Amino acid sequence: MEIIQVVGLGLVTTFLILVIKEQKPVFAFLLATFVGIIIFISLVGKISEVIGVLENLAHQAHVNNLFLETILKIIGIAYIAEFGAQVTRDAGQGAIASKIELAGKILIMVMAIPIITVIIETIMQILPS
Amino acid sequence: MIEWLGDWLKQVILLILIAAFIDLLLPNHSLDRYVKLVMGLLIIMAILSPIFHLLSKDLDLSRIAFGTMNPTGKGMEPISQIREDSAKVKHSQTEQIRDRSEQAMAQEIKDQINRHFHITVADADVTLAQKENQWEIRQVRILLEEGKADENPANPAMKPIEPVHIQVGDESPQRAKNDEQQRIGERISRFIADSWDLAPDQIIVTFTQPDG
Repeated sequence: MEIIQVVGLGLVTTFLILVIKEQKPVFAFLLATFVGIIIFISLVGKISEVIGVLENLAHQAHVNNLFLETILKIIGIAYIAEFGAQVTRDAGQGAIASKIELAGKILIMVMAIPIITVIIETIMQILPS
Repeated sequence: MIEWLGDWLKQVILLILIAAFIDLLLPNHSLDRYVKLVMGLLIIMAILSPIFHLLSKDLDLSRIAFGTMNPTGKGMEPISQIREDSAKVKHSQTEQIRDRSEQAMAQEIKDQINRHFHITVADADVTLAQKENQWEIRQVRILLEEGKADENPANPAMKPIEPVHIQVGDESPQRAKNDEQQRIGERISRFIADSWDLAPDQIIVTFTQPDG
């Protein structure tokens, strides 16, 4: 049911943008961004359900909190970066979109730095100096 | 141990499942490689977590060794307690040895008297005493049964004992009997003193009191 709503909203918006684009291209971009945000927010609830299930499972299995936190942060960064990049790409700013994606990639790598540090330190401890 | 292993395995399996799930959730493939790298590191962390645990605590080998040596979980008793216990055990052992020696000697004395004098010994009691780390006999008490004295036929040097006549109301037979008993007692006493290398005053020979 929800997918029909989302697709319907998208089709209507596309139609409207096609009409407005000839007159006011700025408003067309605004409309596209706005609808994009609405669709994203409507799906956030669904994603939170999935994340809740994952969290529950992790707590039952006594997974380290650090692992779960990192994973969830990675998902969030990936989604937000992807959303921003697409919006800017729609506006014709491919360069900015790629910068947003780069920021997303770098932030995800920063998440990994503490884990890499711990692993390398452990290997150094195990190996005889 | 098994519980801990199960926990660890659950953690690894769940992390792998979540990683697969996140792979599906990711919006596009440009971030795929990065997320996969981080997830891979996380899974390695989870697999290595027992080693981290081991390294984070300072491994104390002596503690582990003593832990296995003492399965009751109680700490070792202090040295003074151990010494006290050992002294107690030693003392009880000495007591036991003394009791056994006394019993054996008493039995031996009984048998000797029986063999040489044919007198039934009602009771023999040997008292041992320790003197400068050596045990020696302090006293020997022998209780003989009255009227059972009999001369050993194999030993002709000894005089046959006169049969005891009892005359009620007359004093002299009683005295004669006492003399007789005293004589036998002295002989037994001398014999035991010779054979056990004791002083005669260490040996006390008595007779059972007549019934009634």
